[in-house]
Amino acid sequence: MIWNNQVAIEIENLHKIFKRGLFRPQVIHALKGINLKIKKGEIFCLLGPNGAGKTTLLNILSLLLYPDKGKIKIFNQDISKKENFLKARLNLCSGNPNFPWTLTVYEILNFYGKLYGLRGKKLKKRIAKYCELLEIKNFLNRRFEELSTGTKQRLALAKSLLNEPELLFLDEPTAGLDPDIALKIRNIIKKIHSEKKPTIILTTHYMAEAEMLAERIAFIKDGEILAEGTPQGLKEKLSANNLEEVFLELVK
Amino acid sequence: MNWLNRTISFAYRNYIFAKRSFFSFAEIIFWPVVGLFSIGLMGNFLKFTKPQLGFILSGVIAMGVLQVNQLDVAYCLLFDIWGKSIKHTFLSPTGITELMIGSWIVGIIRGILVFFILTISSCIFFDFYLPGFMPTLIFLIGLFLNGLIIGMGVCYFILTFGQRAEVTAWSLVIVVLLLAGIYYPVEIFPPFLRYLANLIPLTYFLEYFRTFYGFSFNSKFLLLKAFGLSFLYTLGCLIILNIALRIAKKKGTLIKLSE
Repeated sequence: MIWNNQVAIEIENLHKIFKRGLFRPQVIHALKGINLKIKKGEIFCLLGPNGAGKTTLLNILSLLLYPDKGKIKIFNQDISKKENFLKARLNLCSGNPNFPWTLTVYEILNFYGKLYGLRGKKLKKRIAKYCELLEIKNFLNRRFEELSTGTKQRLALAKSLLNEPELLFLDEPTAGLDPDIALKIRNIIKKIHSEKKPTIILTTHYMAEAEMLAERIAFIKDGEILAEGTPQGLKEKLSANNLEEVFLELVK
Repeated sequence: MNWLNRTISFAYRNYIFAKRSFFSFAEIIFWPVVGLFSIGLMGNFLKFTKPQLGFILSGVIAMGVLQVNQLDVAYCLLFDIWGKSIKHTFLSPTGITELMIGSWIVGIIRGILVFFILTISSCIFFDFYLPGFMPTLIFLIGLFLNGLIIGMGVCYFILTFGQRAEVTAWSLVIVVLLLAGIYYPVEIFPPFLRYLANLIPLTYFLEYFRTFYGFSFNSKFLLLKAFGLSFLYTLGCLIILNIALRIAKKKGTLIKLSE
């Protein structure tokens, strides 16, 4: 068990059901009773195949989607009661970065920075800092529609760091990227974590990425958590050589 | 201060969108001027008197100003939906009010531009005249309040029914204008439509403005009804929009709009 003052996220019996269609509604039980505790300052990875429920869980934690059942506390605050308080302290970077296409990189960062209450010199400094870190300062005057996929991804990461969040959600941050760019992004994530120690929740279906970044891992499939622990602990428990084998063993 | 900062950010974003879009130019100049000349020339052909011409040209001006103003309010969601970035907006600690007001500010600026273009053109080509500063100011404020209400209505439809409801950004205003008596007094309507027209604040703002062209209407307390209804609908729309946002978060519509 984790001590309460060190818990960043506490999830109890979380359910999410989607109903699609009007006349013959299709019911999708996306999350089926998730229980999870995530420590402050750790990199926690949600691993699972497409459609497992990783992104749904992340969307709920980032307050973009309301759950149907269950309790969630972030930094010991009930998410249903302290929405704006929590929103100021978290941010999200998704693997399919989308921003208004006619805005330039600078305008995008400036706009979202202001939504987080930053302004003036402070905002300019933050933009400069994260553009430097993510190597996008040469693209500041380029419109979003003109950027390559890798640059879009780095911009999305820069935007998610602007408010220096205590809780950072990274939803498949390297999906679809070339291996060299993906590695660069993983290294940047490591650097950010070592400097500010935010709690990072990462979703991916790349086992190598999880192994490189995560301190703890949860395997999720069909809306249920199959196993949870440190990468080493999980490998030992299932007598596996790597996380891929752990996953195959779990879904047997 | 953060509230103001966010409101200004939304205004600035809409301004950039407007500045870089060819359609924005068409919305401000092309469509309103085409409308003005087609109606104005028809008035000349039918030999309308000066007050009659004032009556219908005030309808043309109302249409141009209202259309552009409500579009800006609707654009606050539409630009995000077209860019699939709406989740980033609602991920931040921002509320629907900042979003609406910020976009509305740009709508007011664009609406004033349309107003000047149409009024000056009407004065030059159709011998139109404005009744004075105060009636004109009240009429403009009325148009902007109605623009905000219609824009919020469009946003409600988008949040509830998704992107397929974006057509309301161009159609809802036309329905409202038809019911409010854009080129005619609402007294000519059958009882049910007249009842609906009386629920629209724009009806009273148009009637108020047209009294200065020598027309009289059956309605009493025009401005009280106009501002009272506008205030009620603005408040009601804000409440309904907040509810619609909660439902969109519950049903996953907000996420779907970002995919």
